[in-house]
Amino acid sequence: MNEAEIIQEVLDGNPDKYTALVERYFKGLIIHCERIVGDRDDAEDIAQEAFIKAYEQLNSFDAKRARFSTWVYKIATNKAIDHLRKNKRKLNVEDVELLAESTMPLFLEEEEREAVRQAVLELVPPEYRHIIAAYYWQGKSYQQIAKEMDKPVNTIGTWMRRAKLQLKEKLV
Amino acid sequence: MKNATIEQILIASAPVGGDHDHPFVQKVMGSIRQERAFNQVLRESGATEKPSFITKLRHLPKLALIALAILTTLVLTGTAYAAYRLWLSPQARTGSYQENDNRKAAVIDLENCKNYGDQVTFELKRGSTLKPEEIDKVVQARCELDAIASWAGSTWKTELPASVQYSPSALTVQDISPDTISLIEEGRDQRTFALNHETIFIQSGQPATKRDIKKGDALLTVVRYHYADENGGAPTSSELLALVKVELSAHYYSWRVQNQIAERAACIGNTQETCTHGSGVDVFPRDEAMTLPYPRPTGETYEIQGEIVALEGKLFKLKGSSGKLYTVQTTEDVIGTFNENYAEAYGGLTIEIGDMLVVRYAQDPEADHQAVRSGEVLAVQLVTEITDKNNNLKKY
Repeated sequence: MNEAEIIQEVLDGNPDKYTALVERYFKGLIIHCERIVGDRDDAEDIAQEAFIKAYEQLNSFDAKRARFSTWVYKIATNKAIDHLRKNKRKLNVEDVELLAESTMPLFLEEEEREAVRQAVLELVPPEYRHIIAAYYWQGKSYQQIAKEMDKPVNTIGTWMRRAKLQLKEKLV
Repeated sequence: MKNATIEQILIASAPVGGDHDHPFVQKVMGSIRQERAFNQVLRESGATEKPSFITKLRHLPKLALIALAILTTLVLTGTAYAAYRLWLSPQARTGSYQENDNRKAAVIDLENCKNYGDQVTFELKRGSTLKPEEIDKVVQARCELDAIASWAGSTWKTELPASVQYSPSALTVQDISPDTISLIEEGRDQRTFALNHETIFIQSGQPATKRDIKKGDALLTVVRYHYADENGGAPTSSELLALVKVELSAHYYSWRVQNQIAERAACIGNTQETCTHGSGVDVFPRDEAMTLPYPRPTGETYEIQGEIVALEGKLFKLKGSSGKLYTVQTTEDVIGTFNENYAEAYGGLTIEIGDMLVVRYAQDPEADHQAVRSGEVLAVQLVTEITDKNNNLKKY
C-alpha cells in the first residue's frame, strides 16, 4: 500500500492505518529532532507532537504535491525551533535550518539501500555494526544502547563517530 | 548518494515495517485514539465555550474579529477542542465569616456553580472537624461534583441492560501502570480499573493524558456497568469510560466531609429569616396516621426554621433566626405522636424544647406569617446534624 492509499484509508475513518506512516518515519524523525534540540527525550516528545499534528491536519495534506515524510519533518522542524525559543536557547535560525537539512528524509532505490546494509555489515569491529543498526534502524537511544552493551554513553558516541567515518569512506 | 549526508543515507536504509509494537509508535497511536475518543465525547455532550471570552469578542469591530478568528485558527489548528471546556471550572472564595447560633459560617463568592447563585452561605455542623477557612474548598468540591455529574449524565446515557455511573466522591490514585489504574476511596477497599485507548482523561473540563495523572491525584470515575438483562442484579462486567482529575484533594469530595457543612439561606417566603438546608427527620406527615389536612392547604409556600421555645400539645412556638416568634397550630399533636411512636427508631431521638424544627406551610401572601394555623401546615421536620450510618442521629 503506498502513502497516498494509506492516507486515504485514514481519512475514510480508519485511523489505525496511520500506524504504517508512524512506523515508516519515526526513527528518522526522532534523530532529526535530536540533532536540532540536542536531547533525546525532548526529541521524542517533539516527534510525537509532529505526528499527532500531521494526523489532525491530514485532510489538508495533498499527496500529489509533497511526500508525507517531507511534510511531517517540516512540522517537526518548526516545533523543534519553537522548543528552542521557549527554552530561551540562543538561536541562529539559519544554523538550525542547516542542521535540520542534514537529516531531512532521503529516498534511495532498493539496490542503494542494499548497498548501505552491506556496508554496515562489513564494519569492524562488530560493535560498530550493532550500534549503527540499534540507533538508526531500531530507534534506540544512545542511553539504551549503552545500557544494553554495558558501556558508558561516551564510548557509544565515540564508536558512532568512527563507524560513520568508515561508512562515509565507502558510501559517499 | 553523493550529495547526501551519512545520516540521511542510514535513515533511508532502515528496514520498513514491523515496528508497530515499538513504544514510540504505541504512544503516538494511543494519543491519537484518545483524542478521537475525546472529540467523540465533545460532539455528543456539546462543549461549553468560555463565556467571558465570547463576551469580550462581541465588542470588537468586525475586521478585528476576522483577524482574530484567523489567528485563533492558526494557533489552535489541530487542537480545536482546547478552546472548549466540557464544563467551566467552579471557583469558590470566602468573602467573609459569620457566626449563627454559635456556629461558624462563611459567605462564599462563587463562579460557575450552577446549583447555587453568585453568593452562598455555608456553616459548619456541630462536631465538624473542618476549619471555617476550609468551607469554601468543600463548596467548590460540591460544585465540581455537580458539574461533572451533569456532564457525565448528558454524555453517556444509561441504556439498559447497561448503566453509566459516576463516582459520587473522589478517589485517590494509588498506582498507575500502562494498562491499569488503582484507586482508593476514604475508608473503602482499593479498586483497580483496566485502561485502554478509549479511556478518556479530563482535567478542568479539558482533555488530558495519562501522563497528567500521577500517584496521589484525586479522580472521579465514570464507569459503564453491563447487566445480564434489563432486570439488573449484579453487573456482569464494567468498563471505565473516563477519569476526571479534580482540582482539590480527594478529602474535600468525600461524603464524610461534604456532610459536615450545611447551607444557610433565606427561608422560602420569610426572607428575613434564615434556614439551613441539610439533613432532617420527618415529623409530619409520617404515614397514614398523620395525613395532610383535607382539603390540602392552598396559597404560597412559606418556611420557617427555629428553636422550640414553647410546646403544648397541638401548639408550639419557634424562635426564628431574626429573634421573631412563630406560633404553629397543628391538627394533631404531631410532636407527641413522633415522640411516642417514632423516636425509638432513631435511637430515642425525642423532640423537646430547645430543639430546632423546620415548618413549611401554605398561606395567603396577605396573612400574618408568624401565626400558622392548623390547616396550613405542609410539613414539620426535626433538623439534625452530621449523619453517619454508623452513629445515631444527633439533633441540631
